Amino acid sequence: MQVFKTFLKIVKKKMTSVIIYFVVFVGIAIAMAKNGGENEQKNFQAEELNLVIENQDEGKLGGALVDYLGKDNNLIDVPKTEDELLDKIFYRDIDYVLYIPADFTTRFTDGEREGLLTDKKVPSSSSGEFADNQIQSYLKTVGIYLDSGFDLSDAIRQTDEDVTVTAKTKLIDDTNQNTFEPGKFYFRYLPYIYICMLICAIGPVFMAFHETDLDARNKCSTMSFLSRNVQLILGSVVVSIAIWALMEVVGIILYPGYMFSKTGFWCSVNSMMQILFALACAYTAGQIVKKQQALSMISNFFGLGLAFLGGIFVPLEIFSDSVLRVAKFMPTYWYMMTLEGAQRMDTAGGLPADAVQGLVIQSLFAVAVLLVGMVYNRMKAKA
Amino acid sequence: MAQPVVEIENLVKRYKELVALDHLNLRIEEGEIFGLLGPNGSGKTTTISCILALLSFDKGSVKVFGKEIEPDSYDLKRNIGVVLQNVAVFEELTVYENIDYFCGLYIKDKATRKQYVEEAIRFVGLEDYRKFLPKKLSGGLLRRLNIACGIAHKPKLIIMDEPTVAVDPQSRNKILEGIKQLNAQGATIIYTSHYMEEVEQICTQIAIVDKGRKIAEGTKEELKLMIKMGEKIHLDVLDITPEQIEEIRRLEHVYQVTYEDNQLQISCNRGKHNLVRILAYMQEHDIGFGRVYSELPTLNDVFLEITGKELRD
Repeated sequence: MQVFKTFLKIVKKKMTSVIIYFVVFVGIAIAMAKNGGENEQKNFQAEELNLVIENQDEGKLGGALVDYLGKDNNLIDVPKTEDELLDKIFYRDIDYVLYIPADFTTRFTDGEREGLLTDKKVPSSSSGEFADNQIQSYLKTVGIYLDSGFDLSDAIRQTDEDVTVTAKTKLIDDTNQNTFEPGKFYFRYLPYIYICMLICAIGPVFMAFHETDLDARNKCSTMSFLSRNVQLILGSVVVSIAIWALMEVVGIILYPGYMFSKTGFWCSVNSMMQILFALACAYTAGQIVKKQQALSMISNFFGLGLAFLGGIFVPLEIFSDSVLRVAKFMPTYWYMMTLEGAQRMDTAGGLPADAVQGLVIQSLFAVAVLLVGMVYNRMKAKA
Repeated sequence: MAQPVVEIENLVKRYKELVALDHLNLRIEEGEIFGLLGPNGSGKTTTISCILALLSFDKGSVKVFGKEIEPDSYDLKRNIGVVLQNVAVFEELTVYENIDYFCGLYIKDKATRKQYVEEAIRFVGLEDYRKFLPKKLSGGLLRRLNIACGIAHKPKLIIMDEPTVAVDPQSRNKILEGIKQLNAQGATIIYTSHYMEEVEQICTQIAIVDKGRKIAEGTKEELKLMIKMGEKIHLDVLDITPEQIEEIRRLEHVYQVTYEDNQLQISCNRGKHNLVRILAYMQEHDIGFGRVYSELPTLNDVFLEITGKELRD
């Protein structure tokens, strides 16, 4: 078992970078899980604006508009001087200033709709636009009722009733993004950690064993090609399982309830598929790459690329169709599919078909990458 | 006749259009330090690779210890040690761990291996560097580690492919002395180099190869006897006429004279009293001269005379 022992010795000497990855990413995963839980926003809430309204209208409409705006916004007293007003707008203490003239109701009921009101706001600000929308919406509704033959009092009453109606909204895929599940968040970031850790730990060993002169020296020995490769594979599998088990133990310590549930079990199976893929990546990278620096560059490049495009760092829901099409060529996408599927399992009763499909596709990705590495190795041997 | 350790017959190896080995024949007897001498690209490393079954070849046969060697001839490989041209050690392992690893590929018994590793460390003089990583070693020490990794399992045949490339003179001498010592302990050694001085210094039998062919073989004395030159005389001369040079060329046993940068170089064949005769001519014609020295032919002269080019061309 000379090769196997040496494999582990080299991995041991590469543990520094693996430990750094472990500490940093487990820390980040925990922090993200924690922050996600505290800050997760489940319901929509309209923004409240700070409004200053100078109402000089002698009719009813100006007052009705002020009452309407006052429901969802903060009405602030008119500052004493113009300079004070402008300062408050500049410092965003006031979002919007509305001036309602004395003849507003008269002119509005006479059919005049444009240019009756004046305002002051931060140019192109969202709050200004929002206030404009509220005012326009209210007056437009009143105008429709007036034009339909209602008198002003009825038009205002009907409009007030209309604006109190709220639409029932449901956030998209509540189980997916907006229900916080710490265990799920933990599993979500594992593929990135696995790829980085394994490429850093195992990649250099394969790189060393396949270095031309060392390889020649090994070939000159009494150890057979088969025995040497079996020991290398054994070494890499042991290291991969050790890393996987370590992450499982961390998961169990942090989220015991989740980890011992059916969902947790399938998430663990899913993460095992992903570590097999990471192992295949490490093997292939170790065959192709010649320099240690290039290896860490590749681990970051692939790790980040797969994490972003596979929906680990960015929710898949915000991907455009074209990006989603590309994402399907990433094993991490299928990892996320299985992860999401595992969350639905408790209510549905079993692992959904798309989650099973995700597991199968991940294993196929691992085999494909492994084959690339093996073919390259073979071609190099023949060259 | 005793069985040769290595026997190569009509070996041909082609890399597409390039013929790397062209019907090469070699016979290496037990106990020899066999020097394979030739310029870069002459086929030395290809020959070594064929002996080690690292390369397949197109024609011919390679026998080691009387048996055809194949990639899976593990019984033969047990008795072969290899020191490759480039240092082939694990950067991540210490000196001791590296030697232990390579020795362990041959020796399974832990106690024996430990003893062999210690002996190899002592042999190459790396006792103080056991726990050093290769990157902490100088070029010479690294070469010594490379040798230790190849010989720790006490092979009967040691193949060394240019083991002293880019090594300081002190380490080079240490390595060459070590090779002699290994030979004295019973190992047969194949030593490739393009440094003729090294080959002259240690090899008991030498084959000169060029363009994949063996162009001469024998002991260094035998090789030198193969050529016309017996002696090369050098004189620092300030002033000499072309006629006088021509007259020197016509002296007995002289067959070539060159004059360049105030140095007169006279090649003589194996006649006696060549130097006396030339100095007498110089005095007789009142030609002033300074430093005078005489050189015996080198392997480079052998190579030059056979191929018409320098070994290091």
